Amino acid sequence: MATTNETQKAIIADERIVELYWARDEKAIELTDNKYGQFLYRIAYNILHDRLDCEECQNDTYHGIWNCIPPNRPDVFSVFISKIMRNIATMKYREKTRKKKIPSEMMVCYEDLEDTLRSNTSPETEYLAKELGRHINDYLGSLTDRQQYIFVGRFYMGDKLEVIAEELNVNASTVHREIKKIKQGLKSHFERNGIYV
Amino acid sequence: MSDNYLLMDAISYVDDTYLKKYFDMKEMLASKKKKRVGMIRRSASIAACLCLVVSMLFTALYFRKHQQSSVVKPLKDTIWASPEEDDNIEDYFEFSQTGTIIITASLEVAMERVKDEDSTLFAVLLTETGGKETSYIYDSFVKKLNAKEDYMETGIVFLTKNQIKSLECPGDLAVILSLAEKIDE
Repeated sequence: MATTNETQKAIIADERIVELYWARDEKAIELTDNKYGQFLYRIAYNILHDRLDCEECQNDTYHGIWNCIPPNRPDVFSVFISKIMRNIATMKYREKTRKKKIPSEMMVCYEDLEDTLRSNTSPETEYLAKELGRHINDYLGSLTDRQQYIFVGRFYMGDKLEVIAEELNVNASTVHREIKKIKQGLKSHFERNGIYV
Repeated sequence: MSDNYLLMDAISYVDDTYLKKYFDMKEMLASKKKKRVGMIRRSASIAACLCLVVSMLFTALYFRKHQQSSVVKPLKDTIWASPEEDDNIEDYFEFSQTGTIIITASLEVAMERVKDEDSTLFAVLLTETGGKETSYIYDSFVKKLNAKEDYMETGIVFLTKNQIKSLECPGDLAVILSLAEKIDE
């Protein structure tokens, strides 16, 4: 019961924040920072691993949210802002890696995933990314809630194995095994659909 | 575009439904964790309280015992049996009968050495030969003497010469009184 009430409270508060954005009230940014500041910072940190860059991304995200609402009215505020933050952090990451290599948790996990999916060919188009995204979504639909949680946590949010393990109250090795299983399943799913990354 | 960027971009297309599910589950897991931590904290508090109560109980018992022993084991002005004066109580068993008190030789000799009105205490070992329970003997006989004693622990009662002489034996007990040997602390 308590969980449902807490969730309702969070939804109500999010709606209020969105209303403030619509009313062009700058307090909306303050409330967003209070409620989601740490969470957004973590997404950026998993990609960039740099405090100053993360703070810069955070400010850019607030600016982005301010510009996107209105006209948008997000159904789930947390999903909406996390996507903005991830896109900004990814752009920042690309900009920085053009200059130098950054060790990042996000890249560690992609290199890991890439090892499983690698083949001789390497398609580099936006179209392929979308197609891949569509197949990833199809594959996600076939996973259990727990596996979906691990997939999104690890590959979308870039969380460390230990963080996911702590959240699920299991060992990191258990999460590692689950991820291995998910990756093999994704590879099989891609191969069934004639995709070789 | 490298394979890393391709995968990063592809995963950016993960559907909002899965992201929403992720956030809902995250919230649920956090709330579960909070409950778990709360339960652990409560258990820890209860365990701490129990420890406190148990340690207080042990402390209280220790002090009580310590207090009792300081009362019932007077060290001064008390006559104890020396090892050579020690009686063999079993020798008196055949003469022991209900309603009578037998005073052993060692106690008799010790009593003769002090005056009637003397307040010197004798460490008297009280032995009941009728097979009555210790608690029964204590309630029906020892307690009524209003004397310093450690009967339940050692069987010893501290009595003056006059008290010994005026003892009246309950009809259902067969009692032998002897001089007790000093207990080494």
